[in-house]
Amino acid sequence: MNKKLLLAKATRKVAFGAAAIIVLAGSSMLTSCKKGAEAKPEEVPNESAPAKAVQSYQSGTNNGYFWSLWKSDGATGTCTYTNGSNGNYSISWSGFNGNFTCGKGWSAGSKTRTVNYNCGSFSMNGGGSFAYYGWTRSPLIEYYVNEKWGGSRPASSDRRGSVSTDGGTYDIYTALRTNAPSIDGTQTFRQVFSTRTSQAPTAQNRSITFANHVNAWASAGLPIGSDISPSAILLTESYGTGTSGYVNASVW
Amino acid sequence: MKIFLIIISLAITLLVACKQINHSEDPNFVRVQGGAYTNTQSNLYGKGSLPDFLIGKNEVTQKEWTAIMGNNPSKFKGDSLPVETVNWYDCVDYCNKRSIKEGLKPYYTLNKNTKDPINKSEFDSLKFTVTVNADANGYRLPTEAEWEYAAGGGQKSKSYKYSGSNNIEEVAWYWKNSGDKSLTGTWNWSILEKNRCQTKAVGSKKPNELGLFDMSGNVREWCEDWYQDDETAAGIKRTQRGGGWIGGENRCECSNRHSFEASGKGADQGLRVCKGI
Repeated sequence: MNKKLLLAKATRKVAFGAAAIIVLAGSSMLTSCKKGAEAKPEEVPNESAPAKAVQSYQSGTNNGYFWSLWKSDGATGTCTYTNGSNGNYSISWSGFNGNFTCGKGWSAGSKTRTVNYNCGSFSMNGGGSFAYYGWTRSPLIEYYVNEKWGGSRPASSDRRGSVSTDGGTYDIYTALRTNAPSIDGTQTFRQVFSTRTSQAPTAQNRSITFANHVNAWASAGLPIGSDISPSAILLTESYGTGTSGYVNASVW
Repeated sequence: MKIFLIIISLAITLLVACKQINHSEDPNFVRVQGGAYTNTQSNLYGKGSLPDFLIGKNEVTQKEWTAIMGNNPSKFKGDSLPVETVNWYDCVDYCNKRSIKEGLKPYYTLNKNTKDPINKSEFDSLKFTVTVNADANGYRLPTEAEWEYAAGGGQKSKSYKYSGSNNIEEVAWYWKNSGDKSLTGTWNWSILEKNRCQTKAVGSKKPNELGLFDMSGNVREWCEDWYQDDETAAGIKRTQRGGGWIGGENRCECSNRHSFEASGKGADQGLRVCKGI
Protein backbone atom coordinates (compact mmCIF):
# COMPACT_ATOMS: atom_id res chain seq x y z
CA MET A 1 0.00 0.00 0.00
CA ASN A 2 1.25 3.47 -0.77
CA LYS A 3 2.75 5.48 1.97
CA LYS A 4 2.01 9.13 2.37
CA LEU A 5 4.44 11.36 4.15
CA LEU A 6 3.86 14.77 5.54
CA LEU A 7 6.44 16.85 7.29
CA ALA A 8 5.28 19.81 9.26
CA LYS A 9 6.06 21.87 12.28
CA ALA A 10 9.73 22.30 11.52
CA THR A 11 10.11 18.64 10.59
CA ARG A 12 8.87 17.40 13.94
CA LYS A 13 5.54 15.97 12.93
CA VAL A 14 5.31 13.26 10.38
CA ALA A 15 2.00 11.75 9.39
CA PHE A 16 2.13 8.27 8.05
CA GLY A 17 0.43 6.60 5.15
CA ALA A 18 1.42 3.01 5.60
CA ALA A 19 -1.38 0.56 5.98
CA ALA A 20 -2.23 -0.40 9.51
CA ILE A 21 -3.82 -3.67 8.69
CA ILE A 22 -6.08 -4.82 11.43
CA VAL A 23 -5.53 -8.46 12.00
CA LEU A 24 -8.74 -9.03 13.78
CA ALA A 25 -9.69 -11.47 16.34
CA GLY A 26 -12.22 -12.69 13.85
CA SER A 27 -11.02 -16.04 12.84
CA SER A 28 -9.46 -16.39 16.25
CA MET A 29 -12.70 -15.68 17.98
CA LEU A 30 -14.12 -18.49 15.96
CA THR A 31 -12.04 -21.17 17.41
CA SER A 32 -12.48 -24.61 18.60
CA CYS A 33 -12.34 -27.59 20.83
CA LYS A 34 -10.69 -30.88 20.28
CA LYS A 35 -9.92 -32.30 16.90
CA GLY A 36 -10.20 -35.97 16.30
CA ALA A 37 -8.30 -38.18 13.85
CA GLU A 38 -8.16 -37.40 10.14
CA ALA A 39 -10.75 -40.08 9.37
CA LYS A 40 -14.11 -38.97 8.02
CA PRO A 41 -16.43 -38.02 9.47
CA GLU A 42 -14.17 -35.90 11.56
CA GLU A 43 -15.44 -35.69 15.09
CA VAL A 44 -14.38 -32.99 17.50
CA PRO A 45 -15.84 -34.20 20.74
CA ASN A 46 -15.86 -32.86 24.21
CA GLU A 47 -15.26 -35.92 26.28
CA SER A 48 -15.69 -34.21 29.58
CA ALA A 49 -18.65 -34.72 31.82
CA PRO A 50 -21.00 -31.87 32.65
CA ALA A 51 -19.55 -29.28 35.04
CA LYS A 52 -16.04 -30.07 33.90
CA ALA A 53 -14.36 -27.35 31.84
CA VAL A 54 -14.17 -28.19 28.17
CA GLN A 55 -11.32 -27.45 25.82
CA SER A 56 -12.04 -24.28 23.99
CA TYR A 57 -10.34 -23.84 20.70
CA GLN A 58 -9.76 -25.39 17.29
CA SER A 59 -10.04 -24.75 13.56
CA GLY A 60 -8.88 -26.38 10.36
CA THR A 61 -9.73 -27.46 6.85
CA ASN A 62 -11.97 -30.41 5.97
CA ASN A 63 -12.78 -31.50 2.41
CA GLY A 64 -11.53 -28.11 1.28
CA TYR A 65 -13.86 -26.22 3.62
CA PHE A 66 -12.65 -24.11 6.52
CA TRP A 67 -14.20 -25.05 9.85
CA SER A 68 -13.87 -23.81 13.41
CA LEU A 69 -15.20 -24.32 16.91
CA TRP A 70 -14.80 -21.93 19.82
CA LYS A 71 -16.06 -22.14 23.37
CA SER A 72 -16.06 -19.34 25.92
CA ASP A 73 -13.71 -19.43 28.85
CA GLY A 74 -15.05 -21.61 31.66
CA ALA A 75 -17.76 -23.21 29.55
CA THR A 76 -18.98 -26.52 30.92
CA GLY A 77 -21.12 -29.31 29.61
CA THR A 78 -21.09 -31.65 26.64
CA CYS A 79 -20.52 -30.43 23.11
CA THR A 80 -19.50 -32.52 20.10
CA TYR A 81 -18.66 -31.07 16.72
CA THR A 82 -18.34 -33.42 13.75
CA ASN A 83 -17.15 -32.66 10.25
CA GLY A 84 -19.11 -34.71 7.71
CA SER A 85 -18.66 -35.23 3.99
CA ASN A 86 -18.06 -32.23 1.74
CA GLY A 87 -19.45 -29.13 3.46
CA ASN A 88 -21.48 -31.05 6.03
CA TYR A 89 -21.09 -30.66 9.80
CA SER A 90 -23.08 -31.43 12.89
CA ILE A 91 -22.99 -30.11 16.41
CA SER A 92 -24.63 -31.74 19.38
CA TRP A 93 -24.65 -30.26 22.88
CA SER A 94 -26.35 -30.76 26.22
CA GLY A 95 -26.13 -29.32 29.70
CA PHE A 96 -23.94 -26.66 28.20
CA ASN A 97 -23.15 -23.55 30.22
CA GLY A 98 -21.46 -20.78 28.28
CA ASN A 99 -21.09 -19.75 24.67
CA PHE A 100 -19.89 -21.66 21.63
CA THR A 101 -19.63 -20.91 17.95
CA CYS A 102 -18.84 -23.43 15.25
CA GLY A 103 -19.35 -24.01 11.57
CA LYS A 104 -17.99 -24.74 8.16
CA GLY A 105 -17.40 -22.52 5.17
CA TRP A 106 -14.52 -20.73 3.50
CA SER A 107 -11.11 -19.53 4.62
CA ALA A 108 -11.87 -16.16 3.04
CA GLY A 109 -15.07 -14.17 2.76
CA SER A 110 -16.49 -12.67 -0.42
CA LYS A 111 -18.90 -9.81 -0.97
CA THR A 112 -20.43 -11.54 -3.98
CA ARG A 113 -20.71 -15.12 -2.77
CA THR A 114 -23.99 -16.98 -2.98
CA VAL A 115 -24.02 -19.26 0.03
CA ASN A 116 -25.97 -22.43 -0.59
CA TYR A 117 -26.97 -24.51 2.38
CA ASN A 118 -29.32 -27.11 3.72
CA CYS A 119 -30.04 -27.24 7.42
CA GLY A 120 -31.29 -30.80 7.70
CA SER A 121 -31.86 -30.84 11.45
CA PHE A 122 -32.23 -27.98 13.84
CA SER A 123 -33.06 -27.83 17.53
CA MET A 124 -31.77 -25.18 19.90
CA ASN A 125 -33.32 -24.63 23.28
CA GLY A 126 -31.14 -21.75 24.48
CA GLY A 127 -30.01 -18.47 22.99
CA GLY A 128 -28.20 -18.59 19.69
CA SER A 129 -28.54 -18.66 15.95
CA PHE A 130 -27.77 -20.38 12.66
CA ALA A 131 -26.22 -17.85 10.30
CA TYR A 132 -23.69 -16.97 7.64
CA TYR A 133 -20.95 -15.26 9.58
CA GLY A 134 -17.64 -13.50 9.03
CA TRP A 135 -15.45 -10.45 9.49
CA THR A 136 -14.02 -7.62 7.45
CA ARG A 137 -11.06 -5.35 8.04
CA SER A 138 -10.75 -1.65 7.23
CA PRO A 139 -12.89 -1.15 9.11
CA LEU A 140 -13.12 -4.07 11.48
CA ILE A 141 -16.71 -5.36 11.23
CA GLU A 142 -18.35 -8.58 12.34
CA TYR A 143 -21.28 -9.59 10.15
CA TYR A 144 -24.12 -12.13 10.36
CA VAL A 145 -26.99 -13.18 8.15
CA ASN A 146 -29.28 -14.93 10.62
CA GLU A 147 -31.42 -17.69 9.13
CA LYS A 148 -32.63 -19.54 12.22
CA TRP A 149 -32.40 -19.06 15.97
CA GLY A 150 -33.08 -20.55 19.37
CA GLY A 151 -34.88 -18.95 22.30
CA SER A 152 -34.85 -15.39 21.00
CA ARG A 153 -34.60 -13.74 17.59
CA PRO A 154 -31.25 -11.95 17.09
CA ALA A 155 -31.89 -8.20 17.11
CA SER A 156 -30.56 -5.00 18.60
CA SER A 157 -32.04 -1.68 19.61
CA ASP A 158 -30.49 -0.09 16.51
CA ARG A 159 -32.58 -1.26 13.54
CA ARG A 160 -31.61 0.22 10.17
CA GLY A 161 -34.33 -0.97 7.81
CA SER A 162 -34.89 -4.23 5.99
CA VAL A 163 -34.03 -6.14 2.84
CA SER A 164 -36.06 -8.75 0.92
CA THR A 165 -34.07 -11.49 -0.76
CA ASP A 166 -33.89 -15.25 -1.21
CA GLY A 167 -37.54 -15.77 -0.40
CA GLY A 168 -37.54 -13.89 2.87
CA THR A 169 -37.44 -10.48 4.50
CA TYR A 170 -34.59 -9.57 6.81
CA ASP A 171 -34.38 -6.73 9.31
CA ILE A 172 -31.04 -4.96 9.42
CA TYR A 173 -29.45 -4.28 12.79
CA THR A 174 -26.18 -2.98 14.13
CA ALA A 175 -24.47 -2.93 17.50
CA LEU A 176 -21.11 -1.81 18.88
CA ARG A 177 -18.57 -3.98 20.65
CA THR A 178 -16.61 -1.46 22.67
CA ASN A 179 -13.08 -1.94 23.95
CA ALA A 180 -13.04 -5.66 23.21
CA PRO A 181 -9.85 -7.76 23.26
CA SER A 182 -8.46 -8.98 19.95
CA ILE A 183 -5.17 -10.13 18.47
CA ASP A 184 -4.64 -6.43 17.75
CA GLY A 185 -5.12 -5.58 21.38
CA THR A 186 -8.18 -3.77 22.63
CA GLN A 187 -10.40 -2.56 19.80
CA THR A 188 -13.86 -1.20 19.20
CA PHE A 189 -15.78 -2.61 16.29
CA ARG A 190 -19.25 -2.72 14.81
CA GLN A 191 -21.50 -5.74 14.36
CA VAL A 192 -23.81 -5.62 11.35
CA PHE A 193 -26.48 -8.24 10.86
CA SER A 194 -29.55 -9.21 8.91
CA THR A 195 -32.14 -11.36 10.65
CA ARG A 196 -35.04 -13.00 8.87
CA THR A 197 -38.44 -11.84 10.10
CA SER A 198 -39.39 -15.52 10.34
CA GLN A 199 -37.10 -18.51 10.55
CA ALA A 200 -35.91 -20.21 7.38
CA PRO A 201 -37.42 -23.68 6.90
CA THR A 202 -35.53 -26.83 7.85
CA ALA A 203 -34.46 -29.51 5.35
CA GLN A 204 -34.59 -27.36 2.23
CA ASN A 205 -31.89 -26.26 -0.16
CA ARG A 206 -31.58 -22.54 0.53
CA SER A 207 -29.43 -19.68 -0.71
CA ILE A 208 -28.05 -16.53 0.84
CA THR A 209 -27.21 -13.96 -1.83
CA PHE A 210 -24.70 -12.16 0.32
CA ALA A 211 -24.26 -9.23 -2.09
CA ASN A 212 -27.87 -8.24 -1.45
CA HIS A 213 -27.12 -7.91 2.24
CA VAL A 214 -23.85 -6.07 1.62
CA ASN A 215 -25.65 -3.57 -0.60
CA ALA A 216 -28.55 -3.16 1.82
CA TRP A 217 -26.16 -2.62 4.72
CA ALA A 218 -24.27 0.01 2.73
CA SER A 219 -27.54 1.75 1.88
CA ALA A 220 -28.37 1.73 5.58
CA GLY A 221 -25.10 3.51 6.35
CA LEU A 222 -23.34 0.32 7.40
CA PRO A 223 -20.74 -0.46 4.73
CA ILE A 224 -18.59 -3.43 5.58
CA GLY A 225 -14.82 -3.23 5.29
CA SER A 226 -12.80 -3.21 2.11
CA ASP A 227 -10.89 -6.31 3.15
CA ILE A 228 -13.11 -9.36 3.40
CA SER A 229 -10.29 -11.89 3.42
CA PRO A 230 -11.03 -13.32 6.92
CA SER A 231 -12.89 -16.61 7.02
CA ALA A 232 -16.67 -16.85 6.61
CA ILE A 233 -18.74 -19.82 7.76
CA LEU A 234 -22.22 -21.20 8.08
CA LEU A 235 -22.34 -20.73 11.79
CA THR A 236 -24.12 -22.35 14.70
CA GLU A 237 -23.90 -20.35 17.91
CA SER A 238 -25.35 -21.09 21.31
CA TYR A 239 -25.24 -19.29 24.64
CA GLY A 240 -26.95 -19.62 27.98
CA THR A 241 -27.19 -21.97 30.92
CA GLY A 242 -28.03 -25.63 30.64
CA THR A 243 -28.59 -25.39 26.89
CA SER A 244 -28.96 -28.31 24.55
CA GLY A 245 -29.50 -28.82 20.86
CA TYR A 246 -28.51 -30.46 17.62
CA VAL A 247 -27.75 -28.98 14.22
CA ASN A 248 -26.83 -30.89 11.09
CA ALA A 249 -26.14 -28.69 8.08
CA SER A 250 -24.32 -28.64 4.76
CA VAL A 251 -22.87 -25.68 2.93
CA TRP A 252 -21.67 -25.40 -0.66
CA MET B 1 18.58 43.71 55.60
CA LYS B 2 20.46 43.60 52.31
CA ILE B 3 21.98 40.23 53.20
CA PHE B 4 18.55 38.96 54.18
CA LEU B 5 17.11 39.98 50.81
CA ILE B 6 19.97 38.31 48.98
CA ILE B 7 19.42 35.09 50.93
CA ILE B 8 15.68 35.18 50.22
CA SER B 9 16.36 35.86 46.57
CA LEU B 10 18.81 32.95 46.38
CA ALA B 11 16.36 30.67 48.15
CA ILE B 12 13.59 31.54 45.69
CA THR B 13 15.94 30.94 42.76
CA LEU B 14 16.91 27.58 44.18
CA LEU B 15 13.29 26.62 44.74
CA VAL B 16 12.35 27.48 41.18
CA ALA B 17 15.38 25.64 39.88
CA CYS B 18 14.45 22.58 41.90
CA LYS B 19 10.87 22.68 40.72
CA GLN B 20 11.83 22.94 37.06
CA ILE B 21 13.52 19.62 36.62
CA ASN B 22 16.27 19.63 34.07
CA HIS B 23 15.11 16.80 31.88
CA SER B 24 18.31 16.81 29.92
CA GLU B 25 19.84 15.32 33.03
CA ASP B 26 16.82 13.44 34.28
CA PRO B 27 17.77 9.77 34.45
CA ASN B 28 14.20 8.85 33.61
CA PHE B 29 14.51 10.48 30.20
CA VAL B 30 16.71 9.78 27.22
CA ARG B 31 17.88 12.59 25.01
CA VAL B 32 17.36 11.30 21.51
CA GLN B 33 19.77 12.76 19.01
CA GLY B 34 17.83 13.83 15.94
CA GLY B 35 18.64 13.20 12.31
CA ALA B 36 17.49 11.09 9.43
CA TYR B 37 15.83 7.72 9.92
CA THR B 38 18.57 5.13 9.86
CA ASN B 39 16.46 2.07 10.63
CA THR B 40 16.04 0.50 7.23
CA GLN B 41 12.76 -1.12 8.29
CA SER B 42 11.18 2.18 9.23
CA ASN B 43 8.24 3.52 7.23
CA LEU B 44 10.16 6.79 7.21
CA TYR B 45 13.57 5.52 6.19
CA GLY B 46 15.03 8.00 3.73
CA LYS B 47 11.97 10.23 4.06
CA GLY B 48 12.75 12.87 6.61
CA SER B 49 14.54 13.79 9.76
CA LEU B 50 13.79 14.96 13.27
CA PRO B 51 15.41 17.38 15.73
CA ASP B 52 16.60 16.19 19.15
CA PHE B 53 13.91 15.40 21.71
CA LEU B 54 13.52 13.88 25.14
CA ILE B 55 11.52 10.72 25.68
CA GLY B 56 10.75 8.70 28.79
CA LYS B 57 12.98 5.70 29.33
CA ASN B 58 9.95 3.71 30.46
CA GLU B 59 6.23 3.64 29.99
CA VAL B 60 4.48 5.76 32.62
CA THR B 61 4.02 3.63 35.71
CA GLN B 62 1.00 3.44 37.96
CA LYS B 63 3.02 5.07 40.74
CA GLU B 64 3.83 8.02 38.48
CA TRP B 65 0.25 8.27 37.26
CA THR B 66 -1.27 8.12 40.73
CA ALA B 67 1.10 10.78 42.04
CA ILE B 68 -0.21 13.20 39.45
CA MET B 69 -3.81 12.17 38.89
CA GLY B 70 -4.76 10.85 42.33
CA ASN B 71 -6.36 7.75 40.83
CA ASN B 72 -5.30 4.49 39.27
CA PRO B 73 -7.59 3.18 36.53
CA SER B 74 -5.43 0.15 35.76
CA LYS B 75 -6.89 -3.35 35.66
CA PHE B 76 -3.70 -4.94 36.94
CA LYS B 77 -2.41 -3.14 40.00
CA GLY B 78 1.24 -2.53 40.92
CA ASP B 79 3.46 0.53 41.39
CA SER B 80 5.98 -0.56 38.79
CA LEU B 81 3.45 -1.80 36.28
CA PRO B 82 2.60 0.53 33.43
CA VAL B 83 -0.60 2.48 33.87
CA GLU B 84 -3.33 1.21 31.53
CA THR B 85 -7.00 1.59 30.79
CA VAL B 86 -6.34 5.23 29.99
CA ASN B 87 -7.79 6.96 26.97
CA TRP B 88 -6.00 9.55 24.87
CA TYR B 89 -7.68 12.47 26.64
CA ASP B 90 -6.69 11.10 30.05
CA CYS B 91 -3.10 11.06 28.83
CA VAL B 92 -3.25 14.64 27.57
CA ASP B 93 -4.65 15.62 30.95
CA TYR B 94 -1.85 13.73 32.69
CA CYS B 95 0.78 15.53 30.62
CA ASN B 96 -0.64 18.92 31.55
CA LYS B 97 -1.07 18.18 35.23
CA ARG B 98 2.44 16.80 35.47
CA SER B 99 3.75 19.89 33.70
CA ILE B 100 1.97 22.18 36.13
CA LYS B 101 3.20 20.22 39.12
CA GLU B 102 6.77 20.57 37.92
CA GLY B 103 6.53 24.25 37.02
CA LEU B 104 6.45 23.71 33.29
CA LYS B 105 4.13 25.32 30.79
CA PRO B 106 1.39 22.85 29.74
CA TYR B 107 1.79 21.69 26.19
CA TYR B 108 -1.90 21.07 25.55
CA THR B 109 -5.11 22.97 26.03
CA LEU B 110 -7.84 20.47 26.87
CA ASN B 111 -11.39 21.72 26.54
CA LYS B 112 -13.91 19.18 27.77
CA ASN B 113 -16.87 21.46 27.14
CA THR B 114 -16.43 21.84 23.40
CA LYS B 115 -16.77 18.99 20.93
CA ASP B 116 -13.90 18.91 18.49
CA PRO B 117 -15.37 19.70 15.05
CA ILE B 118 -12.46 17.89 13.41
CA ASN B 119 -13.26 14.65 15.23
CA LYS B 120 -15.45 12.52 12.97
CA SER B 121 -15.09 9.24 14.83
CA GLU B 122 -18.26 7.21 15.24
CA PHE B 123 -16.73 5.45 18.24
CA ASP B 124 -15.26 8.38 20.18
CA SER B 125 -17.80 9.09 22.90
CA LEU B 126 -15.97 12.17 24.21
CA LYS B 127 -14.56 14.22 21.33
CA PHE B 128 -12.97 16.81 23.60
CA THR B 129 -11.15 19.64 21.89
CA VAL B 130 -7.39 19.53 22.30
CA THR B 131 -5.02 22.12 20.92
CA VAL B 132 -1.26 22.28 21.10
CA ASN B 133 0.86 25.04 22.58
CA ALA B 134 3.88 24.46 20.41
CA ASP B 135 6.19 26.75 22.34
CA ALA B 136 5.41 25.16 25.72
CA ASN B 137 8.07 23.20 27.56
CA GLY B 138 5.70 20.79 29.27
CA TYR B 139 5.15 17.09 28.92
CA ARG B 140 3.48 15.75 25.83
CA LEU B 141 2.84 12.54 23.95
CA PRO B 142 5.39 11.63 21.32
CA THR B 143 4.46 12.25 17.75
CA GLU B 144 4.18 9.07 15.74
CA ALA B 145 7.33 10.07 13.88
CA GLU B 146 9.24 10.52 17.12
CA TRP B 147 7.95 7.24 18.46
CA GLU B 148 9.02 5.32 15.39
CA TYR B 149 12.38 7.05 15.31
CA ALA B 150 13.07 6.27 18.96
CA ALA B 151 11.76 2.71 18.78
CA GLY B 152 13.93 2.06 15.76
CA GLY B 153 17.05 3.12 17.65
CA GLY B 154 17.50 6.64 16.27
CA GLN B 155 21.03 7.30 15.10
CA LYS B 156 22.21 4.18 16.90
CA SER B 157 19.79 1.93 15.02
CA LYS B 158 20.74 -1.60 14.16
CA SER B 159 17.60 -1.88 12.05
CA TYR B 160 15.98 -4.42 14.33
CA LYS B 161 12.48 -5.63 13.66
CA TYR B 162 11.39 -5.13 17.25
CA SER B 163 12.66 -2.32 19.44
CA GLY B 164 16.12 -3.52 20.47
CA SER B 165 16.19 -6.99 18.91
CA ASN B 166 15.09 -9.24 16.10
CA ASN B 167 14.06 -11.71 18.80
CA ILE B 168 10.77 -10.60 20.27
CA GLU B 169 11.27 -12.68 23.41
CA GLU B 170 14.24 -10.52 24.40
CA VAL B 171 12.48 -7.21 24.33
CA ALA B 172 8.70 -7.49 24.46
CA TRP B 173 5.82 -8.69 26.60
CA TYR B 174 3.15 -9.87 24.21
CA TRP B 175 0.39 -12.48 24.18
CA LYS B 176 2.63 -15.54 24.11
CA ASN B 177 4.89 -14.64 27.04
CA SER B 178 2.80 -12.39 29.29
CA GLY B 179 1.16 -15.14 31.32
CA ASP B 180 1.96 -18.05 33.60
CA LYS B 181 3.15 -20.28 30.77
CA SER B 182 4.47 -19.64 27.28
CA LEU B 183 1.68 -19.97 24.76
CA THR B 184 1.85 -21.42 21.28
CA GLY B 185 -0.64 -21.87 18.47
CA THR B 186 -3.34 -19.42 17.55
CA TRP B 187 -4.35 -16.35 19.51
CA ASN B 188 -7.49 -16.83 21.57
CA TRP B 189 -8.75 -14.54 24.30
CA SER B 190 -10.04 -17.36 26.45
CA ILE B 191 -6.61 -18.91 26.50
CA LEU B 192 -4.97 -15.61 27.43
CA GLU B 193 -7.37 -15.15 30.31
CA LYS B 194 -6.83 -18.68 31.51
CA ASN B 195 -3.08 -18.18 31.34
CA ARG B 196 -3.39 -14.99 33.43
CA CYS B 197 -1.67 -12.89 30.83
CA GLN B 198 -1.17 -9.29 31.93
CA THR B 199 1.15 -6.27 32.02
CA LYS B 200 4.64 -6.65 33.48
CA ALA B 201 6.92 -4.34 35.50
CA VAL B 202 8.39 -1.68 33.23
CA GLY B 203 12.04 -2.08 32.29
CA SER B 204 12.19 -5.81 32.87
CA LYS B 205 13.18 -6.71 29.32
CA LYS B 206 16.25 -5.69 27.36
CA PRO B 207 16.34 -2.00 26.31
CA ASN B 208 16.77 -0.84 22.74
CA GLU B 209 19.80 0.86 21.20
CA LEU B 210 18.86 4.15 22.90
CA GLY B 211 18.25 2.63 26.33
CA LEU B 212 14.46 2.71 26.00
CA PHE B 213 12.47 -0.13 27.54
CA ASP B 214 9.22 -1.73 26.41
CA MET B 215 8.88 0.20 23.17
CA SER B 216 7.75 -3.17 21.85
CA GLY B 217 5.03 -4.81 23.93
CA ASN B 218 3.73 -4.47 27.52
CA VAL B 219 1.27 -1.66 26.80
CA ARG B 220 0.45 0.06 23.56
CA GLU B 221 1.56 3.69 23.70
CA TRP B 222 -0.59 6.64 22.69
CA CYS B 223 0.96 9.08 20.26
CA GLU B 224 -0.16 12.64 19.68
CA ASP B 225 -1.17 12.49 16.03
CA TRP B 226 -4.37 11.66 14.27
CA TYR B 227 -3.93 8.36 12.49
CA GLN B 228 -3.84 8.69 8.71
CA ASP B 229 -3.34 6.29 5.86
CA ASP B 230 -4.75 5.75 2.41
CA GLU B 231 -8.05 4.53 3.85
CA THR B 232 -8.30 6.57 7.05
CA ALA B 233 -8.55 10.34 7.09
CA ALA B 234 -7.41 12.50 9.99
CA GLY B 235 -10.08 13.08 12.62
CA ILE B 236 -11.15 9.50 13.23
CA LYS B 237 -8.56 7.75 15.36
CA ARG B 238 -5.43 8.62 17.29
CA THR B 239 -2.22 6.78 16.70
CA GLN B 240 -0.93 4.24 19.18
CA ARG B 241 2.20 2.19 18.71
CA GLY B 242 4.31 -0.67 19.98
CA GLY B 243 1.77 -3.39 20.64
CA GLY B 244 0.93 -4.72 24.06
CA TRP B 245 0.58 -7.83 26.18
CA ILE B 246 -2.69 -8.82 24.50
CA GLY B 247 -1.71 -8.45 20.89
CA GLY B 248 0.18 -10.34 18.23
CA GLU B 249 3.85 -10.22 17.32
CA ASN B 250 3.33 -7.98 14.31
CA ARG B 251 1.92 -5.23 16.50
CA CYS B 252 5.21 -5.16 18.42
CA GLU B 253 7.30 -4.39 15.35
CA CYS B 254 8.90 -0.93 15.26
CA SER B 255 7.30 -0.16 11.92
CA ASN B 256 3.80 -1.48 12.66
CA ARG B 257 1.20 1.27 12.66
CA HIS B 258 -1.99 1.10 14.64
CA SER B 259 -4.75 3.32 15.98
CA PHE B 260 -7.63 3.57 18.43
CA GLU B 261 -10.46 6.02 18.94
CA ALA B 262 -9.34 8.69 21.40
CA SER B 263 -11.92 7.69 24.00
CA GLY B 264 -10.93 4.03 23.74
CA LYS B 265 -9.34 2.32 26.68
CA GLY B 266 -8.19 -1.15 27.51
CA ALA B 267 -5.91 -3.04 29.87
CA ASP B 268 -3.21 -2.92 27.21
CA GLN B 269 -3.37 0.80 26.46
CA GLY B 270 -0.92 3.12 28.21
CA LEU B 271 1.55 5.87 27.43
CA ARG B 272 5.10 7.16 27.46
CA VAL B 273 5.77 10.87 27.77
CA CYS B 274 8.05 13.05 25.76
CA LYS B 275 9.08 16.66 25.51
CA GLY B 276 11.05 18.98 23.33
CA ILE B 277 14.40 20.39 24.25
